[in-house]
Amino acid sequence: MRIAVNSLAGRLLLASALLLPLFLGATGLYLDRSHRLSIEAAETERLQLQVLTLLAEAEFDQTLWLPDELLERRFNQPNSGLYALVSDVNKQVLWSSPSALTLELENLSLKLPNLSVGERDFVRRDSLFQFSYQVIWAVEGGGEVPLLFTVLETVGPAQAQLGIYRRGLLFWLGGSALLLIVCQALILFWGLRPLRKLAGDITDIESGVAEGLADAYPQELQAVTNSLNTLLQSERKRRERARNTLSDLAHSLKTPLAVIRSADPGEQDYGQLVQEQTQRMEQIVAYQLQRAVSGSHKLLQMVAVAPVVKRLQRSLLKVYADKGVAIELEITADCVFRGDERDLLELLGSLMDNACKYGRRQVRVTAAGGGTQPLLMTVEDDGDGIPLQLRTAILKRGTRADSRQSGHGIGLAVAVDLAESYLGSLQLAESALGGACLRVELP
Amino acid sequence: MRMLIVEDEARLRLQLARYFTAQGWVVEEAADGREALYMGSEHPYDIAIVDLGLPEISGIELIANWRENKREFPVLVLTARGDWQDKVEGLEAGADDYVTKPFHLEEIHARVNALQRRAAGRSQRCGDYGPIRIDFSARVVTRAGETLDLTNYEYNTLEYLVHRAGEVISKTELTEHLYDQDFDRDSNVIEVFIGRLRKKLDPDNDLKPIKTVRGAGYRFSLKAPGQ
Repeated sequence: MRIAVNSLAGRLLLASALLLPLFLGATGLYLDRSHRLSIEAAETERLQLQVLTLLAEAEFDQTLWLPDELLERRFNQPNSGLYALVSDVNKQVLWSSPSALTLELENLSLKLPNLSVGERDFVRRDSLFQFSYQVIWAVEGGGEVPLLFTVLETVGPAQAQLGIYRRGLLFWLGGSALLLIVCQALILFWGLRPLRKLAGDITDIESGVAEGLADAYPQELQAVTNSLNTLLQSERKRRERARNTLSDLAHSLKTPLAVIRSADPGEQDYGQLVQEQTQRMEQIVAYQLQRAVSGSHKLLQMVAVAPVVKRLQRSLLKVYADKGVAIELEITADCVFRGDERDLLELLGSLMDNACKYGRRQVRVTAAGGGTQPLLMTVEDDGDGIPLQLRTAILKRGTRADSRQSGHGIGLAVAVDLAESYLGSLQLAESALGGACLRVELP
Repeated sequence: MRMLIVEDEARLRLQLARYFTAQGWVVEEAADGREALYMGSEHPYDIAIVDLGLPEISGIELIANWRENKREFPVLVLTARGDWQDKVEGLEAGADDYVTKPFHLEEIHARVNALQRRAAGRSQRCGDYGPIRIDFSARVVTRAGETLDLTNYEYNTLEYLVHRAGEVISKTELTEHLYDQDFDRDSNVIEVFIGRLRKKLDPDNDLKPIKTVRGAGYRFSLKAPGQ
C-alpha cells in the first residue's frame, strides 16, 4: 500500500479504483430503478387491459354474471398466476375467476382499496401485482351497483425479467469498470513516460553518459528540465572554473618558485629577490582565491541590490573612516540581481573598495534594472581615474594572474571575471566626478 | 598600551606578538575564541587583532560577543579568504578594519596605528601640544623641533595619557595598560616614569604637561589645536 501511495501512478490508480465503483454503482442503481419502474408501468397497463376485458364480458341482472369460459385462458386455469375477482362496497367477493381457487379470498378482500368511482389503483402486495378499478353498474329499474374489479398477477415473470436485466447490467458495468481501470493504467503509463525518461536521463548524467537533459520533454516539464539544465551548466562551469583555477595557480606559482630556486643564496640581493617573488606568489594566491570563491551561480535567485550595496557602504565607511569619504547611493527600489548574493557582494565590494581607496572624498554607486531588464550598475569616484594603459590590461581576458599588478589589478580582474561569468561586461570610463567610472552591465 | 592577539596559528601569533612587543606594546595572546572571549571580557585592552577562522568560537562570534558586552576597544580582523562576504560579516559584527592574509607586519602596524588614532579621536598621525609634537606612527616625540630620547615605557605612558587627554588616569589604569599581568603593582615605577617624562618634556618646568591629581592619578593637560 505504501509503495502504491509513494508513486504517482499508484496514487492515480488508487483514486480511480476508489471513485469508479462509486460512480458506476450510482449509475447501476439509477438504471435498475428505471427498469423496475418501466416493468411496473407495463404490468399496470396489462392488468388494466385485463380488467377492461372482464368488464366487457360481465353482465348484471340482479346478480353479477360472467361466462364460465373467459376470453383470457389463464383466468380459467386454476393457479395459473393470473387471477380476477369482483367485490361490492362491503369488500364482499361477488365473483372470482376459476384460476383463483387456491387464493385465500377472504384475506385478500380485506386488503382491497377503497376507491371512488372511476378510480384505479395499482399495488404490489407480497408476491402479487394487484390492479383495482371501481365502477358503477347501472341496473335495470334505474338502480346503480358499485363494483370493484380487481386483477392480480404473480410477480414471478416480472421478477425473472428484472433478474436477467440486473445480471446484464452488472456484467456490463463491471466490465466497463475493469476496462476503464486498464485504460487508466495505460494512460498513466503513457502519460508518465516523460518522467521515467527524465529519471533515466538523470541517471545517465550521474553516470557520466550524458551532459544535460534533451529538449524533447512535454511543455509541463520544460520549466523543470530547463532549470535543471541551467543548474547543470553552472555546476559544470564552476567545476571547470575550479579546475582552471587550480591549474592556473599551479602553473603561475611555478615561475616565481623557479626564479627563487635558480637564484644563488650567496648573492647580495638574494633576500630582496625572495621578497619580490613571495610577494608575486601572494598576489597570485589572492587573485586565484578570489576567483575560486566567486561565481557559484545560483541563477534562480533574485537578489535585491540595494541591501547589498548598503551593507558594503556601512562596512567601507567604517574602513575608510579616517579618509572621510562619502558614499552616495542611487539605486532604484526594484533593482535586482539574478544570481548568487555572494557574487554580487564580491563584484560590488571590489569596485566600491577601489573607488574608496583611489577616490578623494566622493564615491557614487548607481544601479537600475534587473529581473527581466538588463542590470546596469556604476561605481564612480573623484580620484585620478585609471590610466589608459592599465585599462586595457585589466579588461584583457585571459591575462595570466601572475602578470597582474597589485592595487587596482586584482580586485578589478575578479570583477571582470565575475561580470563575464554572468555573460555581462565591465567597462571603464571617466566619471563626471573626475575619477574613474566602472560600469557593469549584466543581461 | 595593551594589545590582545587572537590567532590559532602559533607561529604567526608569535611573530605578531614579538613585532608589537618590540614596538612597545604590552601583548597578550589567545589561541582560540573561547580563551579570547574570557580575556577580552576580563582585561582592559586598547586594541585586539582577531583572526576570523578560530577554533571553538569563530572570530565573528567573538567580536559580536565582545560588542554585546560593551567591550568597545578597536578590533582589527585578519582574514585568510579575503572575500567580501567575510570582510562585511566581520565589520558588521563590530570589527573596525580588516587585513587579508598574507600580510606584511608593517601593514598591520599601520592599520593598528590608524585604529588607535581613530579611537583617540585624532585624524592626523601627528599631534601638536604646544612645543611638543608626537608622531604616533613613528613613535617619536619632539620638543621645539628636537627629538626626545624616550624609552618604550616612557613613550607608552605619554601616549596613553595623551590618548585620554583631559581625563584623570589612575595609576592602576596606567599599570593595566602599560604592563603585563606579572608586574608588581605596588612598585613606584609609574611615579618614576612620570618624573622622567616631566623632566624630558618640560625641562624648564614651565609647561607642566602632566598634572598630578592628588589621590586620583595623572592628567595630560596640554591641548592640541582645535581641541
